Amino acid sequence: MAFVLVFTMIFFGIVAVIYTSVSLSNLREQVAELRERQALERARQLTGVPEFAFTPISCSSCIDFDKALALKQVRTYQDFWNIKFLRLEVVYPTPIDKDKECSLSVLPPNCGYVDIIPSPSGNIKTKTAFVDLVFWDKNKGAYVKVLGRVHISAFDVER
Amino acid sequence: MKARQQKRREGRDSENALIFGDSVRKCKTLGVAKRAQEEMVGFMLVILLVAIIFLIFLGLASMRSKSNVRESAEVSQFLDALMELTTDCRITSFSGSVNPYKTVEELIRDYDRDLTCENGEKARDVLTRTIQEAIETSWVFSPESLYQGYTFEVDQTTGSGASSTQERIVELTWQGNAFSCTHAIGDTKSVFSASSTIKARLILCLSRSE
Repeated sequence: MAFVLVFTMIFFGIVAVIYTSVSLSNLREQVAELRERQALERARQLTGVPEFAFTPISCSSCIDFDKALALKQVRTYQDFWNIKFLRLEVVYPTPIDKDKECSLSVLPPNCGYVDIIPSPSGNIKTKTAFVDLVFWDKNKGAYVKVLGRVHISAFDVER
Repeated sequence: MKARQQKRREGRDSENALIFGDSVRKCKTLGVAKRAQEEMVGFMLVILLVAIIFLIFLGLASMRSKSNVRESAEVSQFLDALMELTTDCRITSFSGSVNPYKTVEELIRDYDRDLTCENGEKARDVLTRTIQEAIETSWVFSPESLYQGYTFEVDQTTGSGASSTQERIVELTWQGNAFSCTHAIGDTKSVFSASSTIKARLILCLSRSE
């Protein structure tokens, strides 16, 4: 009888160990996924702050590109969000010169990006989120939303 | 005479003792063997029971992870942004929007109306082209890269209950159907429409797990 009990216990022990290891690996995957989502949400949160939000119409994924370009000139904001690096990139329509930085006089599709907070020296890890960059197109006489990406590097996002 | 009788008795006793000792030993051996057999049967039953429980657990686990398409925040954000994207299609002949340049969402919603843009191009063609270019500019698709291909679908369901009909109004693919991929990420977005339910879905096929 003792023999049966010992083997049963060993068997259950092995099953428990396998189950725990499988559960732990799932947990690690879930943690990584949650961190990723949190970082992406953090990048996306920028569309909601008044300094970037496009308010004439309801658009949760829109960034007012004109406001962002104006904000680039204000140096006091650089330490405000605890962000090391912040770039808005034009994805589609494909920019004519993607290496050219946008300014109040050069707008998409003639430029590819704008560094609101320029990158510090050295390599930094960034998180990206898809957004719409909205600006007034003089030629079309209307607001135009182009597909863009926010590249962000913050102390609590970088992991 | 008496001595002979005594010897005979002793001989019989010793014979009896031998016979009885043997049977007792045999009985004992048989009992142990029977008990061992019972234990083995019990052990087998326990193993069988545990194996069945393990199989049920495995079955449940595999059922839970049956879909190989993982929900992705990146794709979800892309779809949100894509729906708001302004297209080149300008239509001023009907009201409903302040901006004469239609967004992807507006073109999907008005797909049934088969509109023509002011430059003469079909609104449906502009919609398909814009979505395709937006996806293929956002990710690099090649056999060497992480992203192997994609499937983008827009399904429109009209009516409700048993009388409802579903129609696929947009279908774009790159390198086959992304649903058959081992590793895939994706998401679905609902497009608001008064007359029907419209769902847009994007699945990206990955070369490995992210």
